[in-house]
Amino acid sequence: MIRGVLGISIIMVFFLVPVAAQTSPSPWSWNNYMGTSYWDVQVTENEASCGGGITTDTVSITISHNLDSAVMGNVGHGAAPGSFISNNILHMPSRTVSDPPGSSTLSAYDIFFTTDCGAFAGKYTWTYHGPDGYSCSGSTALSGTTSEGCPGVPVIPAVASGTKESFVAEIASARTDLNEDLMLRYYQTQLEDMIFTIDRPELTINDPLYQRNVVWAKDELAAATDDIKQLEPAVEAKYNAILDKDPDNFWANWDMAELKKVQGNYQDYFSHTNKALGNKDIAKKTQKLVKQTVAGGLGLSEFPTTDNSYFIRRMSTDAAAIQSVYGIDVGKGEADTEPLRMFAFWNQPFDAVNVVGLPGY
Amino acid sequence: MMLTGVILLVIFAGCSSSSPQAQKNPVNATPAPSQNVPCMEKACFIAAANDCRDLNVTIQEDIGTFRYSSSPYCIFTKTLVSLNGTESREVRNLLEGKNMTCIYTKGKFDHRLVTTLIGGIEYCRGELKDNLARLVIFS
Repeated sequence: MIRGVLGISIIMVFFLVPVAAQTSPSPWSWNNYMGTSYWDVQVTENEASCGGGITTDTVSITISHNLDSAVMGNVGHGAAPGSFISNNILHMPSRTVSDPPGSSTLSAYDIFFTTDCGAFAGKYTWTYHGPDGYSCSGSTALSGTTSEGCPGVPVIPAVASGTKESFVAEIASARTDLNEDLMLRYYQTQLEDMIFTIDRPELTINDPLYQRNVVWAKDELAAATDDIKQLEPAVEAKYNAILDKDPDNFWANWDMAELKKVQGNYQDYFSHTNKALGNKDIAKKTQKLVKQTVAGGLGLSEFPTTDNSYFIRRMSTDAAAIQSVYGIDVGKGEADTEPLRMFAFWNQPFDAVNVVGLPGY
Repeated sequence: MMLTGVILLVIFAGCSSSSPQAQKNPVNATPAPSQNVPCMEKACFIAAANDCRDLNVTIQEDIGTFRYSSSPYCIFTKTLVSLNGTESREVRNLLEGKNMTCIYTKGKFDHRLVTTLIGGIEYCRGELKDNLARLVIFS
């Protein structure tokens, strides 16, 4: 269904590692499992640039699986949450962790599981930031093995409707489909840009290459548009099913807002964003998470603030004066979550959706 | 063919790409400046952009130096050439030399694209826009 996914993976935005190609069909899919798996993990730390060496230790950990999401136990930088981007590839987003006396920023990375459930591998880089301005970088390689084999019951165990577990499963399922749609929408936009740029008589009239590429781009655009038309009603239906039960739900409203944004339905976009932000405690925690994720993704050793950055101070002044976005009067949000609201205004929908994580993080 | 197209898509995904999303905010037109006077000020550039005239200006502001370009195709490009010296190296690396491109309708150029840092950027594409959108979480 996704056309040109290779093109998207080249272009794709920065918060997450580009979506990896699907592995070939396997008899076991970790992204359909709820439960705990047990692993022995060989952890190889390369601290050569930090004045240390290369060391290898083995630790025993558990991974808590909740269908499309999982939390990996501590291999040295604390427990790590991630989301499955395919049957057996667990994506771990970038994060910053306390590493006394300073902190460490970890890169995003993927954990690749074998289809016989016997092993996994992954590697990430990190940068340590000390309190005195010192910093150095290194890497951590993970190689996990287990003799447990694949869990005996691969089907999703029944959970009572309306429970926290069923709700998380619904959000995770809807978001998987939404991500597929947002990738298609991004691809659609890139194609439209390309056609706008090169479909000009002065360029194509005597150049067969330009002519062929215009034809190719238009064919791709038509196909992507068809795929979107087929996919989006189902995505909306999943989120509407959640919102019917919980109209003010933060994650369902946040995700639905981004869907409405790519559809160009800006009134509904703002309506859903405002409902999401009405969950003040969740919004504040999410804002804190987004700051950490953005800082890690941008390689910032500290948060730029209105105190330490004139640019941020000016940006804050400009943002406070913003009256309309997408031609809609945006009014004023709550002061303590206004940065999150503005983050949602202007970021790529795929980033805005996935940077907030799934319920519980 | 597919690979060629993908490569072209990557190329056009860069700064030179233009958003097909036309700006929808109506903006009052500004009278065109005299054609004989060099255009080095924001107001003059805004008027020229509103007319979709071909023009490039570089303006030094309190926060740094920006380059503004408009074209007969009604494509606006804003480049943050350099930030003033007090910003951290990390923020400078994120923003200096980056640009964004915005397409608009003749007569409806959003002056906020020139007079502010983030007004109107929802209709723009490019690394400058993406990094501004990310940094706003710290404001």
